[in-house]
Amino acid sequence: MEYYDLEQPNELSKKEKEDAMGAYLMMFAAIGAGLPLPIINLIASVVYFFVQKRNTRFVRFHSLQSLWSQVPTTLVNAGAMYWTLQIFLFDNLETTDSYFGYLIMMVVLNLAYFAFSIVGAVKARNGKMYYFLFFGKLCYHQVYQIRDEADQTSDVNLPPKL
Amino acid sequence: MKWGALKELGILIAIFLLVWGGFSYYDYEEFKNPFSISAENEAELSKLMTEYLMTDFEVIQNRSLDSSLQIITNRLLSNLDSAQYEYKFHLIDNPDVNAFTALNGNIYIFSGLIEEVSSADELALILAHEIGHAENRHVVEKLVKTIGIEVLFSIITGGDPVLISELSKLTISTSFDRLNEEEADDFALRLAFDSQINPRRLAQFFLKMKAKHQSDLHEKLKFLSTHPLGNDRIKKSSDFLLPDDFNEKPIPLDWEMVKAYLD
Repeated sequence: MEYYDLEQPNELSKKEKEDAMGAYLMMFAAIGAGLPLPIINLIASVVYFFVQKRNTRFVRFHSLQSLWSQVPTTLVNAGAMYWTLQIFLFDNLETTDSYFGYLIMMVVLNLAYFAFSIVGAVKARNGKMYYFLFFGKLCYHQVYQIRDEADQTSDVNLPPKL
Repeated sequence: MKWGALKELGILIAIFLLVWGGFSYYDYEEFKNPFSISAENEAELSKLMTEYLMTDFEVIQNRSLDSSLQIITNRLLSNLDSAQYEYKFHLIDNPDVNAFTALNGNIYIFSGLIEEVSSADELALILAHEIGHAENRHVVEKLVKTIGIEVLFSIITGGDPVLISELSKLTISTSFDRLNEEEADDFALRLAFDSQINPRRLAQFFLKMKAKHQSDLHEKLKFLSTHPLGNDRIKKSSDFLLPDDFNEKPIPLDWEMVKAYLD
């Protein structure tokens, strides 16, 4: 598998660095919207990724990494909400130890996600790559891999088939 | 790249499963139910409430009645292992057909109920039902749900007599929700079975109450307003599966004589 060369900090414009940093700040979107719904973060990230789709690979890498790393956090948070509602409505307020364990795991996950996003934003602002565990490799592969020719010619205008 | 990424994904999942599993093993017993209050607080609240109820109600002091009641309750309590409370039964002079559980294992029985039931076994089942509410801590749950934990704590610390009287009225008059009733019924049927009392006596009593309730709007049937009675509850009791070798041992009390003590 072949990959494109990585951009170096001195080759990137200030605009690109700021766009890349912006991707990580999407997690504040929900706070900005004034609602504690984790799904808003995810939607904001998806929108951001598509807006930056035509931007350089450096920006695309960071927005994709921010997007993917948000998925498990959102799922775990939604799970916690579902479980809590279940206890409130159907389980007669009976809680279990695994429920508390899950809540603590959720808090740890959110804190870790928050910390990694801040570090990612700072690194991106300085024009540096920053690879999250697993997601870093996944996004590097998705963004920097050199695809087949067919993919690249899809943007070329072709005459109608006669 | 593929294996490296998968390995990292594995590490990531393992970390979070370990955090989840690890914290699940921690003992959360002390704050197991965030909506309940501690035993000390309950005892404190119960003391205030009992004081109020004792002035509001007329307690029947009759040795023969007390000992009859004790025969019934002893049968039940001796078959109840690891009881949460030290149960105290109070006999109230009131024509209403009712019994209710207050805090800290205090159970109040109205004289109207003694008149209404036809045997000691029936009363035993109703008391088992009330014990079921206490054992499952339904009273605390109901109070917290209706007035909120803050108000409860302010009552414990402040001891405002008006609030206490309101709280007591609330305990007597509001009903439990359907789930709680079912839980208490299940508990009562099981306890009756263990105590060699026929669990189907509960259905008999329910049916009798229902028939009476339908024939005339019996003002005194308070038991029905605080213990909503659905057909499923009657069915559960009447369909209670009894093994062939079930050996019913009726409580040896002449109920007519017990009723006579009331006068």
